[in-house]
Amino acid sequence: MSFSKDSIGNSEQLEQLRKILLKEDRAELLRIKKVLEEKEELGKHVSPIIEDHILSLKKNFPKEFEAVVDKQIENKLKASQDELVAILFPALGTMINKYVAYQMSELRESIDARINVTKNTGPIGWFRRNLLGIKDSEWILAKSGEANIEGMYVIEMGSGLLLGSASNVDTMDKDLLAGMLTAIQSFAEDAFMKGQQKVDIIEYDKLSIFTQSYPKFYIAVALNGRLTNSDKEKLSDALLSFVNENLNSIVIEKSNTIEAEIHDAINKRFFKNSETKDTQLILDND
Amino acid sequence: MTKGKVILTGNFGVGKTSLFNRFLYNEFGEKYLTTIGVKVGKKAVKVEEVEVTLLIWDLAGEISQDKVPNSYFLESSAVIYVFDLTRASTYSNLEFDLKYLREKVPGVILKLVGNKKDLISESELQTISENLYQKADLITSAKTGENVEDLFMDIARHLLEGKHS
Repeated sequence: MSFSKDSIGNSEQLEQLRKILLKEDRAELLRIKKVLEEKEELGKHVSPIIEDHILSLKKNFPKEFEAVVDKQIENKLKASQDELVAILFPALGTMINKYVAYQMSELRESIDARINVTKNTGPIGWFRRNLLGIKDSEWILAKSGEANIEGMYVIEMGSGLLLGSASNVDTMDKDLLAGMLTAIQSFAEDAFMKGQQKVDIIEYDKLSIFTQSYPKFYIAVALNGRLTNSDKEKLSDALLSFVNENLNSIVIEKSNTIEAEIHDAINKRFFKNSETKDTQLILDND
Repeated sequence: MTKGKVILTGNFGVGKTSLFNRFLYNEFGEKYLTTIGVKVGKKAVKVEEVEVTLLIWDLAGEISQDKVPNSYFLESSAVIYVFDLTRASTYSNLEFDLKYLREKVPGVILKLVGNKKDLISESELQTISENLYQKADLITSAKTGENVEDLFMDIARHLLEGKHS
């Protein structure tokens, strides 16, 4: 391809003309190009707009998106019902259990307050209860919520060494249990600077551990259920009499068979039938 | 059956829990674990065919022994004071700590143990031993298990014989 001198001259003139006519436009174009290509420059112009939008979104989000979000959550919940039940069930179960146990102990406290007598069973008991306005349903409920002894541990004071025990259920290693209980006692004693005062009850979920201290040892009673104040008094009296009548002599003698002697003494005194592992505690004269 | 309460005490991170785990479960945790409060473990050992049960209280590390709750030491049969051979700060306070323990639990078996032998050379061990306030009863390594069994067996033997050093 060849160009004549005239045509070259025309195109140069045309370019000159373009330069003159488009000078301002080209300068503006360059400026815009610079703004678009340089991050900092672009940021100066765009950031305020984005910030305004974000602020506006924050301010108006509930109004503008509430319906959408609600719908999304609703759909998600509907689609994950099984998972939700699996997550919530154990927590709800524990809460309900605790609530029922607490209500039972309240009911029993209230009945104990109304009839502070020992003979409440049989026809005479029924008559007494009716006279005092205690419904049979209340009585049955209260009786069903009574704490059962699961184990009794005689533990040397200070060292936490287990002297002897009897238990109806399989628990963790009894020596370890005695050691950990003593550690908790020691911790509480030191943390609260209470000297000789001891923790007398530890409650966890539906389980309670009642402890009673004597000079050389303490007794820990593991119970399934919560103790009312009246239960605590009864248990405390029963333990004191057991210590005076049976335990003190065994501990003082401290023979090689101390563990077996304590085991037999607890079974004989506190469990109706150690052979069949009856968990019913003999405290009442019922 | 003979039973005894054995206390593991000493500074932070000297390897008490590792010794505890090594003796009780024959394992060594590679991860550093700061003891919180007290951890109780049990091990029954046989000394000349007689069973001796050791209830081991692994206490949280304290800079000084007077910071340890007094009641933890009550009626203990033995106290093992552990220090870290690689950290001088864990044995620089030995004189005070050992005197304190002897006053707090008079008559009990008190063992001074230097742990983490696997991390130092023989010459370093010799230098450390020469500068200790009191000669260590045993040098152990919870990592390799060196002397750990011997430490507790020695205590079990003392308990059985009723000898308190």
